Formats: sequence, structure tokens, C-alpha cells
Amino acid sequence: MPDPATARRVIFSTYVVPQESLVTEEGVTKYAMESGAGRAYGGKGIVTTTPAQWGEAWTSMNGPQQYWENMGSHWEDEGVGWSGTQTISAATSLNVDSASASTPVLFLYIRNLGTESDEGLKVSLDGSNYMIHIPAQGSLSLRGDGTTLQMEDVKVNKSDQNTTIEFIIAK
Amino acid sequence: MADRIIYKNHCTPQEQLAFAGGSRYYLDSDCGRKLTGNCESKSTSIGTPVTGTFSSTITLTSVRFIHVRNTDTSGSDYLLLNIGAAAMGAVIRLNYGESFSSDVGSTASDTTTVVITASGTPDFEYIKGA
Repeated sequence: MPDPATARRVIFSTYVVPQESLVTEEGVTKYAMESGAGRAYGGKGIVTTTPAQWGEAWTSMNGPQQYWENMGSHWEDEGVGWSGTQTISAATSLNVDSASASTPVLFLYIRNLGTESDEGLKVSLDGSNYMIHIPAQGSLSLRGDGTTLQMEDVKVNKSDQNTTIEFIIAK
Repeated sequence: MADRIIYKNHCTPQEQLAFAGGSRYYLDSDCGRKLTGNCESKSTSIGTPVTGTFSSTITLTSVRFIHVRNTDTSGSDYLLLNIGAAAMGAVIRLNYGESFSSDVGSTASDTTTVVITASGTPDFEYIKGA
């Protein structure tokens, strides 16, 4: 059996497709690459995070064998995939450990699992001003600056209706 | 003719396990899987892509969507993003090859300001959606 994780990292990427609509002679609207942008855009990076994270809640994800009382089941009999969501109905901090509140955020990922257009999510990186918006089914990934962006600065709130999220907030 | 932007943010969390015969990275056992989101931006207008070498602070106003990439292929120069010009300053870092793509502004219709600064003189590209 291997030792516990000796290192952690996150490979992250973004992909952007600018499009413009074209209406055919038959009146059908189709989308093509936006002529000014001319191509898709994106980038990729690797963030080295800390092997021992600040607590169990550094990610919303959990597995069917996470709790010892579930260990009576054989893993090969489990049909449950990894999941883990948090419902957002008000301003919510993603860091629940006061001891790590001032720890710099090295990587942040949030996915809005809402499905309706009024289930948007807003994100604050200073604890009070919500300046990032994640539409339903959208997500956000970023590398923190390593000093100023701290755990307690990251908060989320619903834009309109309640929604649910998946997240990783790593030191 | 109308513009729209489709964008995706993806991540693969990994952990390294040490064996007697060496060490490899595996999918992180705390997270269990990769995470991906795919959506259409609230932006309905796409600005002309801008490329260059950083020399002084770049301030973009009335932004609904922003894509910024550090287009260096190596080195230690990096970009810093301040979304909303909040008092705390720039808190998003882009090392070479990395990008940040997101809707900005607090609601499904708001705009905000994005300020780009840097350490060193990295090359960059950005697209602003309004």
C-alpha cells in the first residue's frame, strides 16, 4: 500500500469560442466562428498545491467509501460515483476552518450546477464585493496570487434563485 | 447578426503517491474526478482581440466577459488580474501559458472593470466581451 500523497497539483485550462450568428436563406440561425476573433482561445497551467490540505472541506467532492460506516460494502458492489455538492441560498464562505482563514488560496475552482437561467452564482474574492458571475452549468478556475487572496476572502452567493455548486479551494 | 461566447473551465486534481519503484501522479483521491463547466457567456458583443507585451497597467471598462492569457512560453514573468478594481488589488495570477476566462460583474447583466498588471514584461492576449 502506498504512503499518503506526497504532493498535490491541479492541471487547469480554459477554452473560449467566440461566435457570431448567421441566418440562412431559409431563415435558420446558425453560429460560426466570430470573424474578428477568428479562432478559439484558451490556456493551460499547473498549480502545485500543498500535500496536506487545510481540512476535509477543501473540496466538496466525496466518495462512497469516505465514511467508515459505509466500509461494510464492497467497492466493487458500489454503483455510486464521486459527487458532492453544496446548496447556495445566501452568502457562503467556502472555507469553514477559522485556523486557515488567513491562508493564501493557491487554486480555486467553482462549478455552478444550476440548470435554469435564473440560477446564476456570484463570487467575491475580497469577502464583500461580488465581481464574478458564473452562469448555470458554468465554472471558474483561477490561481491565487499567493499572498493577498486568502481563504476568508472567497465567498459565493446566489444571483437570483438558489443553486448548487461543486468546488475546490486549495492552499 | 449577434455575437455569443461559449467558454469552458476545466481542472484535473492530482496527487503523487510514492512507491518503492518510483512515484507517479494519479487522480486526486479526495476529489475523485475531473471537474468541467461549459456555458454561454452573458456577453452579447465581442471586442477585437488584443495582443502585446506588458509595459503599463491596462484598465478595461464596461466588461461582461474577459479572457486573458499570459502568452509567454517560459520564464517567471506573470500577469495579475484585478476584477472589479476592488480595494484589495489584483489577486489572480497567470503564469506563462495560463489563462483566465469568466463572466464578470455581479449579476447576469452587470458590467465591471478589469485591471491587468504584471511582474516583469510578459506577453499577453485578451478578449473583452461587452
